[in-house]
Amino acid sequence: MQSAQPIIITDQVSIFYGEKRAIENANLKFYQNEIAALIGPSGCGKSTFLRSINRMNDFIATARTEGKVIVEEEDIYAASIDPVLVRRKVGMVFQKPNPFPKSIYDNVAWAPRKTGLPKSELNEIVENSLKKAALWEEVRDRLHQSALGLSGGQQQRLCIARAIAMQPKVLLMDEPCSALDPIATGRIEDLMRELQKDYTIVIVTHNMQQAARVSDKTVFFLNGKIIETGETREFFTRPKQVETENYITGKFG
Amino acid sequence: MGLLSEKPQGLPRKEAPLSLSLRKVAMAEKKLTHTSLKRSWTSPSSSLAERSVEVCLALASLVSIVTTLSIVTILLMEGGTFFSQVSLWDFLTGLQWSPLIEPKAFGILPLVCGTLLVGVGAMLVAAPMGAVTALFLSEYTSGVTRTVLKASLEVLAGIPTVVYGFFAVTFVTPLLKGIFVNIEIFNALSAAIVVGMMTIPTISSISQDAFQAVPQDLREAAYGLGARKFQVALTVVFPAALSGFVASIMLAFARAVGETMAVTLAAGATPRLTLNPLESIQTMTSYIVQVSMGDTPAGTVEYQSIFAVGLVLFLMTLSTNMIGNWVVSRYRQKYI
Amino acid sequence: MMFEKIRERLSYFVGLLAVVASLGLLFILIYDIIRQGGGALSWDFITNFPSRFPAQAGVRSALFGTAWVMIMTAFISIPLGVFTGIYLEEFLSRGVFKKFIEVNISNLAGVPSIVYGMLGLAVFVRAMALGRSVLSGALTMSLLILPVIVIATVEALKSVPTTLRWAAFGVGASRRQVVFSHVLPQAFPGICTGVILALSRAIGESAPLILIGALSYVAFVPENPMDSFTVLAIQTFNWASRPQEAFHERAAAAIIVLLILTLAMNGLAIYLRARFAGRKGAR
Repeated sequence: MQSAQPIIITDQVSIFYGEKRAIENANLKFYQNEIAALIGPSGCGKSTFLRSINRMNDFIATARTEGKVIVEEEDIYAASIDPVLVRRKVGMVFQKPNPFPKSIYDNVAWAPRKTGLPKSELNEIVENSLKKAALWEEVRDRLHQSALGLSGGQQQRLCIARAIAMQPKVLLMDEPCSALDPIATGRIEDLMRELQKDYTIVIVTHNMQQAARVSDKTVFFLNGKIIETGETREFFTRPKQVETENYITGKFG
Repeated sequence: MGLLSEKPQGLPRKEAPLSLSLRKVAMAEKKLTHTSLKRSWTSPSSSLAERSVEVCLALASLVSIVTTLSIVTILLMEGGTFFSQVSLWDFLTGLQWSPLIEPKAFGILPLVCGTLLVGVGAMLVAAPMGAVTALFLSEYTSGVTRTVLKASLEVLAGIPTVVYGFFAVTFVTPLLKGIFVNIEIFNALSAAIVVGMMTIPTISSISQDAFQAVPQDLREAAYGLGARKFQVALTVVFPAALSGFVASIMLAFARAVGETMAVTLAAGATPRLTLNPLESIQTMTSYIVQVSMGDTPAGTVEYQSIFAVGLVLFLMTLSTNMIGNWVVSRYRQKYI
Repeated sequence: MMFEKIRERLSYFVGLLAVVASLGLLFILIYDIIRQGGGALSWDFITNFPSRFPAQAGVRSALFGTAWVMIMTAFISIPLGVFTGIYLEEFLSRGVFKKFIEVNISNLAGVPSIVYGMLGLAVFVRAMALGRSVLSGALTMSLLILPVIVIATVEALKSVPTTLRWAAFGVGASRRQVVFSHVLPQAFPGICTGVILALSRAIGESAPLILIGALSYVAFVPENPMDSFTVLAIQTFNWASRPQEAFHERAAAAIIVLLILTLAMNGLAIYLRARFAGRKGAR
């Protein structure tokens, strides 16, 4: 599961909203083709942390990030880095499915098209991405219909296809199943295991069972601090910290 | 623990594909695979296309700033030349305005008086109507009825001002003549009425937003004490949104002061210091129109006088608008 | 108790009366205009030039002048206004500069139209030596309606949900791409509505054009942007200020034409707003 070098390293990362500190000194390593789950009670900062990995916090006016986030040996917060390129390498799937108000085809094809690929390759990329997102069979006959006509679960898989069409190295997922019914959730969890072959996945979830089912590594956040991280099975059977044990046995949160 | 199911195994990356189309995809995918994230001329955020678009948009925004600067510059420059020939004191305190006819006098008070007569008169018409309609729409109607009625009122604001002037001359003045027998053909009252009509939507719309922004809890507290709807409207909602209502009057007043064509047609061209609305007067705006329709050459004190009057007009409307806008933004923050 | 109930009913009717009275005034206005001008409306009226004889006076030159000015104004003010709105809302983050431009725009929106006329006179007619031309008129009118278009654009852009922008940024789009490929198409109907309303205001404005020297008696049609001209609103004003009853009828007829244009544009804007209100995404 591990290659020698981690693909993402966060080094003393602290994130502030104005004066309020949301994340304190986060030090983590994520390895290639690993699924890492970030868990914790609401408001503990896990989504904020996730968004710092692809510089989406840039769009929150009061947000400020200190420390380094190193993706494939480059600190993405360095002044010389183009954040747009960061987001092409580190893709994101959001909590509520948000397909573009365009056709299914255009949703997946839009971003690759903007990097100048010719039409023939575009078709193949769309097909490939939709297949990897386990959506191809359901939409192959209506690629040019509006994406908004799909069900919630289908829309979320479309968002996954859209994200992987750009061939990212890392896929960030911010509670991707929280707006979906259990069946759709199950399909996406199965999907994640397939996607793991090609991508590193970091998922935020408030559902501990999901973390336990799906991830290789689990990280527990509480009030902006990382309390414990470990290999998932170990984490859930023999947690090292008291707070972790209290959280996973349901004493709070 | 029962929390765990089969732990997934991480797998190494996919083997190199064999078939042709899969190979094409791999090549395409390689194109998309980025290596360095560093900025450069070609990187998206700093590319020429990106930068030039941003510059273009910024330049467009500058036009608005240039416009304001130009307005202020023009008024000050030409006005300044005017004040080199006419003393500011005479201008501000003089009781006679006859710049075109001998003996020349440049006291602006008659024009200001005319403007205020029409402006205040218009508010006397529009404020009660606007307040009542706003309260009615906000407290007694909802949904489609409210939208339709509000839109219909907006039509009043969309009618060109010449039309109001025409209406004043051909309908309102003859009507008034039936009531006030010795009213002049051109008079301030007629103008005030139609300008009031045209500003009702301004007061109504902004006040209605203010009334609707009053939190429902306040109303419910009053209803809970056994008050009736009209009591709640008058004694709870209206006072709570009073600042919004006052702001709407200020904005409507600024509009009334700046109004040109309706007053030019209806109120006349006789600068006169009077409080009698049945007489003919001249407003600042209609003076400016009068001069520009004539043959006044540039560089003369008559030509410059319109800029001096314009300066006063601009300052009046600017200050009223700024205060009005500020109050509106403040109460919007309070409840939203 | 009884007294209160009566007051309650009465209040409702007073409120209703105010609304009805306001709308009633509107109807009286329209009725009176039609009464006076309906008889003068004819095909000749549309195609004749103005004349000393009311019976032969027509709005041909005014209509052409209006068309020239409006089209040119649209070409100038729409890009300027929309681009300013886009820059304000999408490219400037909350800051002093943004607040400065916003306050500036809202002040410009309140400046009386006649002051814009004076600006046009001093800058376009005199300083830039464009004379009393259609071009001067169009430039002046563009500045007049610019704040309206900017405000409408900003409102339309604000109504586009942030999740759409985040989705586009998340896929590695640059700001230019996010705005022009995603946000703008969504905001397009709102911007259209605002632009149409702004233009319908411009059609009715006469004071700024009088200031820049649009003539009152024009017996020709403009053939290039540097020609002098008149517009419908000014022609109306001219006939309305004459004492003869016959010219008043002509004025009323011209008003009917003007109102048809204005109300058609307003109606189009309202229709667009209603048609696309439901279309904003399925969620």
